[in-house]
Amino acid sequence: MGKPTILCVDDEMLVLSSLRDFLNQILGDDYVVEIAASGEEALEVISDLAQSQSELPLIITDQLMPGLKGDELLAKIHQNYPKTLKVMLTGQATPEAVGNAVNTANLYRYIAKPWSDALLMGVVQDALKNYFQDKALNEINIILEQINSELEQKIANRTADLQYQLALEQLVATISTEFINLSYSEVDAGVQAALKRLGEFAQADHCALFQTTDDKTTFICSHAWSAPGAALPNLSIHDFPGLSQQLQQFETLHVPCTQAWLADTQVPDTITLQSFLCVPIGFQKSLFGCLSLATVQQPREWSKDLIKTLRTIGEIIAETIHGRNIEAALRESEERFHRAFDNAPIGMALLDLEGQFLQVNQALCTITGYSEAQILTCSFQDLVHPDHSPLNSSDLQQLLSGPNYTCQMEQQWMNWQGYPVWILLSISLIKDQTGQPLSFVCQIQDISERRMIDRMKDEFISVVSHELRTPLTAICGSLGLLQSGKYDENSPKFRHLLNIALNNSDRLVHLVEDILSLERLESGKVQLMAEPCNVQELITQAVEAIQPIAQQSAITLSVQSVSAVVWVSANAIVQTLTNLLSNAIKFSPEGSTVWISAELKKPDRPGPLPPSSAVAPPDVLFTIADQGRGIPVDKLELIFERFQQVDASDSRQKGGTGLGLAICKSIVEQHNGQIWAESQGSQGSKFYFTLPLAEPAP
Amino acid sequence: MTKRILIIDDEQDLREIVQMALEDFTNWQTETAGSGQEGLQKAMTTAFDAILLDVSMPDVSGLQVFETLQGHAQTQRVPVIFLTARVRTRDLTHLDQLGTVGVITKPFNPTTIAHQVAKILDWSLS
Repeated sequence: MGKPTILCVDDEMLVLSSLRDFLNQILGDDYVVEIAASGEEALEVISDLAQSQSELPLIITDQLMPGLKGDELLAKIHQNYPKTLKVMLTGQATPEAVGNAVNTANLYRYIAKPWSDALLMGVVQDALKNYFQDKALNEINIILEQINSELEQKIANRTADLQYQLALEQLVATISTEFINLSYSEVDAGVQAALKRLGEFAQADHCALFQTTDDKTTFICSHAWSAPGAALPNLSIHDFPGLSQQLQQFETLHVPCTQAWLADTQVPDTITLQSFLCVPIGFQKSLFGCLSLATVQQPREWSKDLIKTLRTIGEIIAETIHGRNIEAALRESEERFHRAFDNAPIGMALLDLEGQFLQVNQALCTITGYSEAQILTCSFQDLVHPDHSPLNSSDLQQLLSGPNYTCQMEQQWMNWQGYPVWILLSISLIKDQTGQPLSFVCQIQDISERRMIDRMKDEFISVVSHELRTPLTAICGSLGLLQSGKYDENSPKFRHLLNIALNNSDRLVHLVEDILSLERLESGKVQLMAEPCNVQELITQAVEAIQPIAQQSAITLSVQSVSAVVWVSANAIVQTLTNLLSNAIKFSPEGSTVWISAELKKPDRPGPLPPSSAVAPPDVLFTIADQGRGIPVDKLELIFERFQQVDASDSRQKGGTGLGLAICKSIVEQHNGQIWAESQGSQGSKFYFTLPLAEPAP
Repeated sequence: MTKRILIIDDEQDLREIVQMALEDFTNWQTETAGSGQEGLQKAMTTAFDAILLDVSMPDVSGLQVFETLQGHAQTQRVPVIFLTARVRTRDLTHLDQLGTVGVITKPFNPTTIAHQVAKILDWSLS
C-alpha cells in the first residue's frame, strides 16, 4: 500500500499544474498528488488506486468540464469512497450543482476561483486532518467493536456456565429434598426417581447405581434407569477390566467416545456403548459403590462439573440407603424382639425403675387373668399376693447396685379372681450405654402346677414310704425276734411271729404290685388296648374269679346284666369289677348278698359327684351293692384316693393295700367313665361306674 | 421297780412285736392300745412310766394324742417316745420341736429297741 493520494481534476491544465505544485509544496513527501483533466480520466486514476489499494483521503475537482461534470464525478466516487473528502474548486458552479454535490457526494467544501492559497491550504489541511481523524476513529471503533463482541461472547459463555452450575445445584437440591421427605419404605422408589432425574439432566440413555458388597470388591447393580426407547444395557462393572480396581482407588472412569476404548479394554461385544462415565461413591471413608452414565446412540462428553455433581448425588444416595439399611436393621431387630416378647410362652414384662409395668405380653395376661390395659395401670407390687412379701424398692435398689443385675425368685401372685398363683420370677436390670439404669425386664413363669405336682409327689412318696415301712417293720420285727433264739420253735409265740412275717410279706408284695400298677396306669406306660366287649361276659369273668372268696364267706352273688357292647380293655374292666366285688365281699357280713348289675341308662344320682352332662348318653351303668357296714359320708370321695381307707386297720384285717379303689378310678377314667360310691349308714354301700357304649359300626 | 409302758399303735402286728420286744427282753410291763382314743383312755386311767406312741394313726393321730397328754396334769409328765415310719428330716425335726423325749423310726431292731428306750429315758436295764 502506497502513500495516500490526493486527486485534482480540472479541464484546464494550467490550473491543474498550479494546484499540484501548490499541494506538493504544502504537503511535502507525505502524499502523492495525482491530476486528471476530465471526470472520466479521474475515474481511471481512481480505478488504478483501488488496484494498488492506495488511500484517497481528498479529491479536488472543477465543476464545469467537458463530459462528466464535477458533481456527477463526486457522486460516482462517493459510491466507492464515501470516506474521501470532496472539495469543489470552480468559478462557474451553479447553486444547483453545489447542492447536488452536497446531497449526493457529501461535499466537504466549495472554493470559488480564483482561490487564495491561504484558503486552499487551510481547507486542504483541515480536510486531511478530518479524514485521518475519522479514519483513526473508525479503526478505534472497529477495535472497540471487536472487544465488545468478545466480551459479549465471554459473558454469554459465563452466563451459560452459571446457568449450568445453577441447574446442577438445583438438581442436587431437588434430589436432596426428595430424599429428606422419603419414608423408610419409599427409598428404593426415591433412588429410582433420582436416577431418572439424573439421566435426563445429563442427556444420558442409561443411569445406574452399583453398590459394593461387604468386602468392597464386588459391585452389584441395585438401581437402574434407561431413557425411553433406549435398550437397557445389562451392565456389570466387572465386564470392564480394571474398572473395579480403579473405583477402589476412588478414580473416575470417563470415556466420551468408547469406540477405540472398548476394543482396547477387551470389553465383551455385547456391550454397545457410545460413551461411558463411572464415578465412585465414597461414604464414611470407604467405597459405597458407583454411579454410571452411558449413551448408546452417540458419543458424549460430560463436564467436570457434572462429574463433581454425580459424586455429590452419589453420596446423598449412599447416605439415604445407609440410613434406610440402619433403620431396616433396627426395625428388624425391634420386630424380632417384639415377636420374641409377644410370643414367648412365659410371661414377659418391662418395668420402669419404680416397678410400673411398661409393656407386657399375652402370656402374662393369661397367667394373671388381667387384660394388657389393666396390667399397664398396675405396679409390680399390685400383683404380688398380700401374704407374700413383695419385691420392694430396696430389693430393686439392690438389683441396681449389684454386680449381676439379675435375680430369680419364686413368688406368690394373685390373679384377677383373687386366687393365688405361684410364679418363678427372673428379673434383670437393663442399662443404657453409659451404664445408667433404664428399666427392668421380667420373665414370669406360672409354676402353680409344678408346685402342686411337687407337693403331691412329695406327699405320695411320704405316704408310700410310710405304707411300705409298716409291713416291713412287722417283717423285720418278727424275724428279728425269731432270730434272737428267745422262742422255742414249737411255741405259739414262735408260730405267731412266723405268721406275722408271712402275712406282712404278702401285704408288702401286694402293696408293691398295686403301687406299680397304679403308677403304670397313671403315667400312661400301660396302654389299655380297647376292643369291643360284651358287658355280660365281663361280669361273668369277674364273678367267676371272685366266686371262691364269696363262697368262703358264704356270700351270695346276685348278677343281672344287659347285653351291650362296650369298647374297653377287657382285663382292666374285669380287674375293676373284681376289686369292687372283692371289697363288697370283705365288708359284707357272712350269709349276706352282694349284687352286681349292668344297665343302660344315664346315671341319675344326687350328691356331690353328679356325672357330668358331657358324658354322652346312654352309658352302661355298673352297680355293685353290699349289705356291709357302709361308708361315712365324709369319706365317700376320699376312698378313691391312694391309701385312704375308711379304717386304717382294714389293710391288715381285710388284706387291702389302700390302692384298690384308686386303681379302679384310674381305669374307669381312662375309659372316659366315672366312678362314685353311695352309702346310707349301716345299710351297706353301692359302688357305681359308667362306661360309654361302643360307637355303632359305620 | 418294774417299769410300766403303754404302746399305742393302730397296727396290731407292730403292737405285738413291740410288746414282745420289751417284755421278753426286760422286766418291764407293757399295755397296748389299738387307737389314739383307746390310748388316751388308758393313759388317763393308769399311771405309766413311758408311752411309745405311733405318729400316723387314723381318726386321732399320734400328734393329737401327744397334745392331749400334754394338756392334762396327770399325763403331761409321762415321757412320750414317738414311733414313726415317716423318716424324712423335716418330719423328725417337727417331732423334736414338739417336746418329745425321743423318736424311734420304723423299721426298728426288736432285739435292741429296749436298749433304745432305756437310753432315751436314762433307765437301767439290769
